[in-house]
Amino acid sequence: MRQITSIVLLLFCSFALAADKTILTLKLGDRVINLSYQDILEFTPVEHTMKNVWVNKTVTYTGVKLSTIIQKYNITSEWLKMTAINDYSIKVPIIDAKKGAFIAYLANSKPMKIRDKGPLWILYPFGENEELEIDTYHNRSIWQLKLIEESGG
Amino acid sequence: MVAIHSVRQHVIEIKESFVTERWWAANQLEKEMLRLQNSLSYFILQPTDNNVDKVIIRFEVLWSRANIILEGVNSRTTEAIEINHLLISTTKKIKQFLAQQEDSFYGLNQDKASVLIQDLSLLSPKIASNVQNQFHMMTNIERLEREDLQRFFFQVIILLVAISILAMGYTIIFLNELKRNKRLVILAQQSTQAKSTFLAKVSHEIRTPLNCILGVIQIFEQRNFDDETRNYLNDVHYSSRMLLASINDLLDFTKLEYGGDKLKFTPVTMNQLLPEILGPLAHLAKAKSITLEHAINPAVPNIILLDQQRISQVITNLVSNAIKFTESGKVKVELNFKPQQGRLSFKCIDSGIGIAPNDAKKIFIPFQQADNSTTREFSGTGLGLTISKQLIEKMSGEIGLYALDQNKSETGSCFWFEIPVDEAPQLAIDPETLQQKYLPLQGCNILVAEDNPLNQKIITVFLEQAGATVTLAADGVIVVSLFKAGFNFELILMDCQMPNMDGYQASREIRKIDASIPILAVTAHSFEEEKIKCFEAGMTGFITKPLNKALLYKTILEATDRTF
Repeated sequence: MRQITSIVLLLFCSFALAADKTILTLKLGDRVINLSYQDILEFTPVEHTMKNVWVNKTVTYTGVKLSTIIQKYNITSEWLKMTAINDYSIKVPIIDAKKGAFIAYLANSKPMKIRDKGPLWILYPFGENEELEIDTYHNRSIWQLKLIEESGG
Repeated sequence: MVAIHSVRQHVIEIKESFVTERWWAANQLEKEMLRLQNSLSYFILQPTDNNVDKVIIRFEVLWSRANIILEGVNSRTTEAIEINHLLISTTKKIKQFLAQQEDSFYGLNQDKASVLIQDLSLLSPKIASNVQNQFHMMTNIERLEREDLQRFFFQVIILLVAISILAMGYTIIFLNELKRNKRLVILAQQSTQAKSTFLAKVSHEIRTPLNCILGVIQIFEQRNFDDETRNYLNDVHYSSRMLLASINDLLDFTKLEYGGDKLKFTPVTMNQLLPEILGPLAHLAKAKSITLEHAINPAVPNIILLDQQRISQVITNLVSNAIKFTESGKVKVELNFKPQQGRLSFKCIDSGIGIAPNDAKKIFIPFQQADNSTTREFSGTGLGLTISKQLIEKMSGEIGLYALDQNKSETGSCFWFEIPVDEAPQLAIDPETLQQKYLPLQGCNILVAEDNPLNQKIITVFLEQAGATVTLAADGVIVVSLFKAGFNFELILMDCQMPNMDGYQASREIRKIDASIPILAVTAHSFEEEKIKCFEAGMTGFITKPLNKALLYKTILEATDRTF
């Protein structure tokens, strides 16, 4: 595991983004948590292989489950406001964590460049659950994720 | 129509969502280009590392937007989607530019930045017009959808109008049908009513004179005559009875066809009734030299509840029929009782020619007589057996006939019926026997309202023979005034049809004064409506004409609470 991590970090650096630079900010009430790529790699990973509507080939995405983040930081709000690098934002209900929503950070074991919708992309286990094949979940699959905030509704 | 519309709508929806997405994507592309230009400007003003990072981020994002537009074309191909070729070509140019200048962006300095800004400013008008272009495409699709929807609604409205016109048409037709049906129903009811009225009239017109004839005959029978006269008298009596029977049959049959009267059950002693019924028929049999026998099984209860009149009618019919069919030999009547089923069993066995099985079926059908091939002529309207069947079935019984076994030397047939009966408690009075020994109406003061002089005579004779005192009134007015005069009448016999004031009115008038005196209606009508009319007028009892002496006595005895 350690070896894989280091290889990944190396790759990441070659993509010209410092491994310790903040790529995801969590604003939970008063708390502000800045997470770097390295921090995110330390969570228990999860893998889903799929062919989603944006990428016309089968890809195995590795990421961290939303429920992991929620548990780790004791997030209690009903909704989460997700914001992307280009300031596009969408609200995701916390119950989507039960539907297997995860923050993908590797595509076929390689980090994703911003131009390829990385570094972080909220995805659902498409292809594993027919219920997810609707616009609602497509719209919530926000890429270039930079910020997660607690939200009322 | 709906199917075609929804398919069209679906296609338009897909087009619309794609075109809208495209518009958004083009919009985003333009925006990111502007932001890239801005970030380059900031860098030129403040060439910090931080600002370089910002430029790089904007560079990447712009690239990602271009990728999204170009990927969209490949990955989502559905039929008839308008591809905005201008947008695609501009996007390709942008991507090309970014790819070519990647190193410059990643190794940025102020000079490079200035060049890059200028290059970008060449591309930006193109993308701006693409966005507008895409916007028009979007509104176009929206317009198409709107028009399609309008057309659809228009078609729906036309359809609805057509349907409602049809519905109105049907409703009008339906209402007309209803009206017509109502009219037909009224006509049918009028027709039935006319028939009932006719029947009532006929019944009255025929029975009244017959009543006279039979009454007079009964009076004569009390007197002494020589044999020759007595024979003539018997003939007249017999003929009158036959006439009455035929008319009654006809009226009965018609009544029964229309539903008819209810059965009236009274306690009957078969041991007495059967000989009474068979008595007149013995004449018939004797004339043909046939013996008429009867046997009542001891199992038959002494007194049973029957509609005496109707049972007599049926038995008379069956026996007279048997006599008709038989040339010589005997007719035997057997009465039996089946205790487990509680049924009275009647059999009339004759030694006549018998009946073919085919005829056996037909014989109960109205107006039919048995097959002509036996070259038998017999009188009668052909209704007798039918009426018997109607009556027996009304009593919840069964009736039938079978031919006796033709292998034996004897031929013949058996007419039978079975009816459920109940036993009756013992009778206290037996008016028939009393009549011969006592004067049952001794001391009874009776007021008789009757307008017909002959009928007056008959009633008076009947009543005085039984020991009653009779006062006559010829119309309703006289009856009422006689009643008021305080003669202490015990009972009133009220003829219903009288001049000046009819029986109903007179009864009502009397009831205003006295609620308790028994008033017996005397009428030729025997319909249910007639009875109801009498009772409503306040009368307490009912006797039909032609008058039967024994029944008259019995009714008066019951009405005046006379017991012996």
